[in-house]
Amino acid sequence: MKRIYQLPLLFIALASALTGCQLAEKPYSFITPSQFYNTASDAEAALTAAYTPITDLYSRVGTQVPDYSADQCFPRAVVGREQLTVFSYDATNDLIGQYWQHCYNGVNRANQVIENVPRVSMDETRKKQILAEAQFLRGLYYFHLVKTFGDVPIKQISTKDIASTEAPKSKAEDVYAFLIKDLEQAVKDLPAQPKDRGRAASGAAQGLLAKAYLYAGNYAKAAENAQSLLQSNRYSLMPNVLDLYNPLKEDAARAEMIFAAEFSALSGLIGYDLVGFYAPANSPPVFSKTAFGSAFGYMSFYKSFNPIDKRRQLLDTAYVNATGVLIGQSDVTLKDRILVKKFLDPNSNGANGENNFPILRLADVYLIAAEAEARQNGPTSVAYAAINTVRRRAGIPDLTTGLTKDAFIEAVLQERSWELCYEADRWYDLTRTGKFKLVANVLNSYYPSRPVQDKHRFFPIPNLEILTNSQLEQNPAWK
Amino acid sequence: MDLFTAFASREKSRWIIGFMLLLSLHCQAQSGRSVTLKGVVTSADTRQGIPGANIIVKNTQIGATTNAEGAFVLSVPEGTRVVTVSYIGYQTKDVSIVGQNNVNIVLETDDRSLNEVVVVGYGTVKKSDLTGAVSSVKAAELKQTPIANFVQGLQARASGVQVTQNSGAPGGTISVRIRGNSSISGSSEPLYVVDGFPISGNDNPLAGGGSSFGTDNGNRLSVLSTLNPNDIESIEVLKDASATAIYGTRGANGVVLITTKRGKTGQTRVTYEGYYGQQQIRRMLPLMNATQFAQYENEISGQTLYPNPEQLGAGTDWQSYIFQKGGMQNHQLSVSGGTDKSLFNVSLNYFDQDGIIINSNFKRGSVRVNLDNTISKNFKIGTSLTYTYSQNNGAVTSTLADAGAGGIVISALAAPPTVSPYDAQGNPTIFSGRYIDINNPISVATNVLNRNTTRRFLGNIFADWTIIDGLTYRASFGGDLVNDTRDSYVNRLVRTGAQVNGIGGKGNTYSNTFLHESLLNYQKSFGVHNLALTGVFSTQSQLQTSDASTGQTFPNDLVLNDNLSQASIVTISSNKQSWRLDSYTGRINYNYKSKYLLTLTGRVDGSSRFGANNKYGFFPSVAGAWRVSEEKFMQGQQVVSDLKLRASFGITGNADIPLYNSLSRLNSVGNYNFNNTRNIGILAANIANPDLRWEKSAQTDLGVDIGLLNNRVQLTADVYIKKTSDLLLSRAIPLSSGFGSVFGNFGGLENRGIELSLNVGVLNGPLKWDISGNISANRNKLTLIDGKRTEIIPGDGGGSVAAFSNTSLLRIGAPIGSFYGYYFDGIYQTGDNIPTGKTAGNIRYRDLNGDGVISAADQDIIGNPNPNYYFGLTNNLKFKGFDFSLFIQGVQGNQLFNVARLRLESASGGSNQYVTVVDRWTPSNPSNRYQKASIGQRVSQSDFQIEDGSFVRFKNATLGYTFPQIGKINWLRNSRVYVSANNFVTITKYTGYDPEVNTAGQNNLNLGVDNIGYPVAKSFIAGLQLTF
Repeated sequence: MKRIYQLPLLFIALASALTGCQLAEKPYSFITPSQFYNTASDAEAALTAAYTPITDLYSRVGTQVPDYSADQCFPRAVVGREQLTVFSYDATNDLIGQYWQHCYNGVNRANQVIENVPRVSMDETRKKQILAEAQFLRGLYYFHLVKTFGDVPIKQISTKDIASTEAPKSKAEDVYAFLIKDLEQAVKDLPAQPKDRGRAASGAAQGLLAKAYLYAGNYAKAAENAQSLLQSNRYSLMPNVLDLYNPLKEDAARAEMIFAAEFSALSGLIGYDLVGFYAPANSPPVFSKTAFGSAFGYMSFYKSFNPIDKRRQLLDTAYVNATGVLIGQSDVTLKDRILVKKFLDPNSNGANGENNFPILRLADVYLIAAEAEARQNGPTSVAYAAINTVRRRAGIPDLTTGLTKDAFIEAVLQERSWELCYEADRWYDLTRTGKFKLVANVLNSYYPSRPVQDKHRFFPIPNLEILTNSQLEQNPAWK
Repeated sequence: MDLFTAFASREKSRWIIGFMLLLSLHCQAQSGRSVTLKGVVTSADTRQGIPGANIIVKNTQIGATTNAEGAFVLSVPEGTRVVTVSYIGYQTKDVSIVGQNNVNIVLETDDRSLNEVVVVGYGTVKKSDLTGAVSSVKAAELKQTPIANFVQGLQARASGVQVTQNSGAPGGTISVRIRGNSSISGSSEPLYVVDGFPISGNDNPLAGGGSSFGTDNGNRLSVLSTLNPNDIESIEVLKDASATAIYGTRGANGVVLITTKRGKTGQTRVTYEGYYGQQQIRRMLPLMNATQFAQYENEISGQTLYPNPEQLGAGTDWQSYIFQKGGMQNHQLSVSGGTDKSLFNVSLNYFDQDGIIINSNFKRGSVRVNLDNTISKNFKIGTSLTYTYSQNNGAVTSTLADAGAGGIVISALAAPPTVSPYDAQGNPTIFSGRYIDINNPISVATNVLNRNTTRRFLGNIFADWTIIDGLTYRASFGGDLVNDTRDSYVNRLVRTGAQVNGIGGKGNTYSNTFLHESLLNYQKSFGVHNLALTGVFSTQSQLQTSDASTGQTFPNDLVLNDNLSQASIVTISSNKQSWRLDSYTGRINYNYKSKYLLTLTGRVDGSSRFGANNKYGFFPSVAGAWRVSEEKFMQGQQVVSDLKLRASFGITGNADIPLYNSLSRLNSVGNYNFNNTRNIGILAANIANPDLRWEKSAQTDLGVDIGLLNNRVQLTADVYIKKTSDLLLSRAIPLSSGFGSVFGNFGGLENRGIELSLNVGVLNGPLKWDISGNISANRNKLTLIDGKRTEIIPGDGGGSVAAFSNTSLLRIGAPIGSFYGYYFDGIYQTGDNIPTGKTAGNIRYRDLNGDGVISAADQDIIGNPNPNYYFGLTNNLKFKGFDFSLFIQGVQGNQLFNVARLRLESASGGSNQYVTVVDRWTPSNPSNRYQKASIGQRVSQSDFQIEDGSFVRFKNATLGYTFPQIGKINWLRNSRVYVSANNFVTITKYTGYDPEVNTAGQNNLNLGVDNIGYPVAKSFIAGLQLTF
């Protein structure tokens, strides 16, 4: 009988022997936070991840949200994109939600770099640059947030647990102050020539700084920084404006592209999706290998160009389709529609284009310089010189001399519309200058009415943020 | 002894009981004059001797037991007239022996015996002593329909078990819901336990790497199709918490216990079973013919694309080119037998099924070796080992990764009937012009390699040690080694392949699972008190590795995927993961005079999947039963032969949650392009949740078992309520945190239902007629999301549920899977008040919120994919050598979302449409159902595509004949031939191919979605069973 009593003991002994191993999960195919931020390559990898939201943003929504709202292009009325054009969106609109999300993803990743990289033991020069790149990126993301949503939360620390996810809003001027501080630092610490093509250089930070000052209403600082960058002669306009957007000439175009979303059709990277959007249905691969036919230009915008303006060649009124048939304005495919041919990639991988999307280019800086100078000092020769540089490259005559300050500024804004069309810029020019309600007059047969209201000055904060962030209130106009 | 024979399967327990009786009978003192009676006891079913049967002189204790061949010798007192012959599982029989000294006794099987042994978790129990809700399905029922997968055989056989063939592809994915959907982010599939080895019924998410065209859920293979159904002796489905709590964190979705056949003492038997059959599509879908299509194309393009539509006639019927009559055959050869010391059952199986879509098939070869060996009086060892090799050539019915182009079936529906199927060279025509976006379906079927090869070893060895009488210890060790290889290639004759000059891939998944279990059993009777104790320690772990390579842009299509280094662009990936589960389990069974029964179980599970703060969970259950029929006041009446009331309550868990979700995982998901090369960015893709734990289900069950008229009528009824809390969901967190959601235990849901099963022996004379049926109803509703939101609608983005797509929403109070969309309100007619952006002929959706604008806010719940009830009904008739059975299945009150209609009734041009679109709106035909033809328009998801999915199906009719013994040929012991028709009549209003469809596979949310997958077939087979 004695053996019987021993048996449970044996059983327990066996059981505990077998459970000697821990129940902790053993990671194989990923790493844990405690294993990271130790080496120089960790620091680089963390920084790279902070760049990704740029391509996440601009592969679609970064352009769609502002551009479909403005007066240059409109979407085919599917999957709710038309809400942006007819101003029927509310806080639940997914495209607006994605815009917000990509920007804050970027902020969080930049914060992780800024917090963790200082303790990495590595080359100090490069470490300083990495931190400056992260500050540039954080400034860039906040600039996108503040111009799109107005008052937004300033997150200075990365998210580590569920408890630290909620945060209140800050005033727009505080957001500008915060991002300007980041950019000022980045101007100082970034190299004039970046380590790799595609990274932010000191000039990118300075150009963005000029633009941020312009938006924030500090025209003196805007003019100072724009001029300083122009006079540095680090960048030059591409002689032919048509070459700017050709993916095969993207390295040459870096002379003018101060900072761009670097798209790639390579596996594991993000391609520029909008090549397929602008490609009309059944179009040849001149546009893109995959054609969605999902966005077109307004006829009124096409007509606003001087016919000799080279930039008008980036738009078209007809195309030869894949079966060799000429599709013109009389065809149902192109009725009331202008083709946007700024972003073409015949070698795209599906709808993934190689095109780099301009976030800041020298022509923009010229026009910032012109506007800031005019707002600060009136339409001086400096202001005229800046705008005319851009006009000459486009092949159109210099601006009429002797304009009043207001007329000159109006001319700069018009020039910006032509020069920077479809580059996610126009809507912000319209909103920062209070002219956005004019889009109510930009109509066609698809959009016979566009009832824009005062509340559309800023987009609503996404509903998911409102639902989950108890410390944050919706923009007053959207309550 | 028969109260609780935990180690033995049914056969062994019979043997042991016989053995014990034999021992006791030897001790009987014999007195008086006696004569010798000899005889053989055989089974009416198998015509084989029954070993261990008891022969007792009626009303005495004088008796004997049959030997391994079923023979017996008994000394009976002179003048004995009647002996009683009995054996578990057979009807007890009184046999007159007057004037005989050599008798042949044939026993009929008894399906209604309460002495029958039922397999439960970690043991067996006599049916009469069962306190939980358990349904049993016998091998004969399981194999009645031709099946690739045993789960198909469970369909409509057990109450509370809803089996859906998600895909009709041979070996295709199946989902099983026991008492409803009890998870959203985890799996809702039950746990399967094969001869004590727990395996998962989840479609392997890692398998399918190396695909050239994505891995659509509906296109998956069922992992369970790698097990040979012909080896199965019985299946028990554990449903209530009393039965399932012993499986702890894996019990919440129910447990399916599979017991395979083992050897029996007696002569060696060689059995061959085989069938051959043909399957075909139930119906073709009505499409526009070439004339109608040409007219439609002319109208939509505003051009004369086809000058003379009328002359085109019917055109190409694409469906007829892709569907075929698919042959299927199954051959099983098994040899079994044994002696007192050792038993064996060895089987070989070959199964081969061609699909009803050309070039699709599934083949499986398997071998099984089940051994039992008694080494000494108290020491036994045994094995259950099986190896399977299966190969599936899958039809690509999922969407190919290419805008516009689709899989075989959708392409056949969309392909222009005006184009001939083959070009002048005899190759499938490549569509051009307006139809360039559509794949030629013949080409997709014949020019796409899509092969899955699975090798699986599943084995268990065990040793039993009887320490003292009543106390036994079993140690078992098992392994489940699965290797899955995926081969794929799309050549240049298919648009997807042509665009990139060939795309191919290869993927391997290796999944190794090991199990150790230690069981202690003790049982003893103290007078009227009967006690059985079980203690189990078990540890199971799995290591899974996978790798996949895909290549595109090949110099030619010659090497397919066998030399991916020829590809210009190669993508590779690999993954490795593991989990571990440690468990401590105990059970107490107590009964008083077999009248008042009590079962207590408890299990502690420790799982690696859980967060650091919650590694161990405890899962208790309690159940009681009262056999009212054993009470004195029930004696003396003949009507109620059995009456048992059951009640149980318990907590079970669901730990089938994605691995590593409690940890913050850093991965290379944030890459960026510097210098035109890919730079790897590493970032934390999620926030850690150290509190992550199992989903918890608390289930209450009340049941009654009633037997009437000596159990000729048996009724089992159960009502239950299962409340699941700590439901795993992604909870939305502020997007400004840089994360969209955190995965954790936030939600809740509830299932409640009623189940009835009835078994009636209508006739038991020369004509034997049994009816059995079951009917179940379950109601499911979501009770909690995350404490913040009351609903999650499709397209919420960031914080939505994993794998959430566009068909259903989650709303508190509504059933899981509720379809979401607009309400169709006819067509705008000329002269109507038509809103901006719409014209006459466009679809009108109902303005639910009455704001005058049709917007996303006008969407609501438009349908429910969950049935009101489902049932199965079987009639079995036997007359002389003939047997006939009719099996009917029904599902009622569910709705299906016929997604294909979004495309096939869009009237947007460039592809064929359902013939209904002929009735589209034109100024002269003001249809109120089908919108006008207009290029590029899309149709929104609305109740227009929601259809009644109810059906009643004649699932099987079998007519068989068992030959009487032919002359003196005694080497052929039994021979039966049969023919059967399967799915041969389906009564439904559903307009798709078949109402049994679930394109999203095992997904918990997108239920009842018909996105044109692989249709379920009907079949006719003829078969043969021979025993030597």
